[in-house]
Amino acid sequence: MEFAEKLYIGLSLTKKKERVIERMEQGKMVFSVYCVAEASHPDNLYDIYSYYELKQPYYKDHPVKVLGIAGSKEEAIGLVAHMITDKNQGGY
Amino acid sequence: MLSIILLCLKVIGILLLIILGVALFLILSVLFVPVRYRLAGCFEETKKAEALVSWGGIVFRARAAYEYEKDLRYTVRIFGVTILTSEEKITILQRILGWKERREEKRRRKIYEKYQRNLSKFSEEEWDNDAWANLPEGYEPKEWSSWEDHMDEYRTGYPWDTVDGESQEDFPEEKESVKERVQGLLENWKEKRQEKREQKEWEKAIESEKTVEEPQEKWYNNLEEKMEDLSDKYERLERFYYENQSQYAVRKMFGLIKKTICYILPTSWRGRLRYGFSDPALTGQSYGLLCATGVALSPRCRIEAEFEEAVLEGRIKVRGRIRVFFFVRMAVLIFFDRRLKAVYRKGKDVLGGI
Repeated sequence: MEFAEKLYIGLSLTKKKERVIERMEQGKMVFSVYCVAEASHPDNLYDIYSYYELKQPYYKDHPVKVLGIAGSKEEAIGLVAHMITDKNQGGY
Repeated sequence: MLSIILLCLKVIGILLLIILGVALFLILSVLFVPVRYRLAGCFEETKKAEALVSWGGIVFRARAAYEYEKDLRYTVRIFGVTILTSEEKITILQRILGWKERREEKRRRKIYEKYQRNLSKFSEEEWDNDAWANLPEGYEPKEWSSWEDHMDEYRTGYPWDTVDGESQEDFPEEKESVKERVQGLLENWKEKRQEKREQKEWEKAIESEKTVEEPQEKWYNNLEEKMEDLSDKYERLERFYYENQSQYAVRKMFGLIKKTICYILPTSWRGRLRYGFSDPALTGQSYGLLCATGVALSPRCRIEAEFEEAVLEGRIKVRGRIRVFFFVRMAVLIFFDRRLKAVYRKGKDVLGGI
C-alpha cells in the first residue's frame, strides 16, 4: 500500500490519523477505515476500498496508491467529492 | 595396619553396594512394576460399582465400592496395614495424626479439674457475679449525684463555659460580644458556602452543555483500540502456528497424546447387556444395527435382546495396567528433542509478548 504525498483524511479520523496511518503502513488491522485510491480503470475517477479488502494477499503483490482515508463509506464518498472540487480548483 | 584399612574399605564398599542395590531395586520397581486397576459395574437388581487399584500386589492396595442407596465404602492398605477406611475403626494414620487433639484434650481436662477444685472453696453466688471477676483490683465505681457533676467531667471549651474556675455570670458583657463574634463568623461561613455551591452548579451547567456524544465516542474509541490490539495478538499467534517447526511440534504432540491414551485404556474388558424396548420392532432394529457394526458379535461383549418386556440390565468388568516407565520415556523424548525445545522457547516469546 502506498500513500499519496497529500493525503485526504476524513473528519472522523482526524484525531487518530497518525495511529491509523502507522498501522496501515505496518499492515496491521484497523477497524472501519475506507480508502480512496486511484482508479483501476481509465474510465473511473477514483476507487473506494474497504481496508479489509486491501488486507487481502492479492493486494500485497498489486499495491494500490491511497489518496485519502475515511471512517465510513459515506464519508469516503464525501471525500471523493471534496477531492474532485479541489482538483477542479487546481488544488490537487 | 594395611589389612585393617583394606578390611574397612571392603566393609564400606559392601555397604555402599548394598545401598546402591537397594536404591536401584526401588527405582526399577517404581518404573517397571505396573499399577493395576480393575473396575466393575453392575446394573441389575442391585446397582453397584467397584474399583480396585494396586501396586506391587500387597504393597499398596486401594479399594472403593458404591452401592445404590448405600454409603460409599473405601479402604487403603499399605503392606496389608489399613491406613484409610470408611469403616468406624481407627486406623494407624488417624492415631498418628490425632496426637495434637489428644494433647489438647488432656490439657483441657486438667484446667477443668483445677476449676472444679477452686469452685468448691467459694460460694456459688460469688462465682456467679462475673463482673467482679473481670474488674481490676482497687476499682470503685463513681456515683454521680446530678447531671452537673457529670458535666464537670466533660469541658467543651466554649467561651461562655467556666474557665479556670470563673463562672459565666461574672462577665455578662464579654459573653455577649463573644456571642456576636461567633454569630458573625457563622454568617460569613454560610455566605462563602453558598458562593461555592453556586459556582459548582455553574460549572456543572457548563459541563452539561458539552455534547452528549463525547463519552460515547471515548468508549467507542477505547473499544476500537482494544479490538485492534486483540487482532494484533491473534495475527502473531497465527503466524507462529503456521510456521514449519510449530507444525512439526503440533503433529508430534498429537501423536504422543494418542499413544498415551491408547496406553492408559484398559487391556481387557468383558460385558453383558440385556435390553429390550416396549416396542419389539425397535428392539429388533437396534439389535440388527449392533450386529451390523460388530458390537454384538464381539466375544468380549454378550448382548441379549429381550423382545417381550422393556428391560435394561448389564454388567461390565475392566482391567488395565500402567507403568511409570512409559511416562518417563515420553518425558525424555520430549525433553531431548531440539526442535520441540526451539518451538517452546519461541512460543514463550510470542506468548510473553501477548
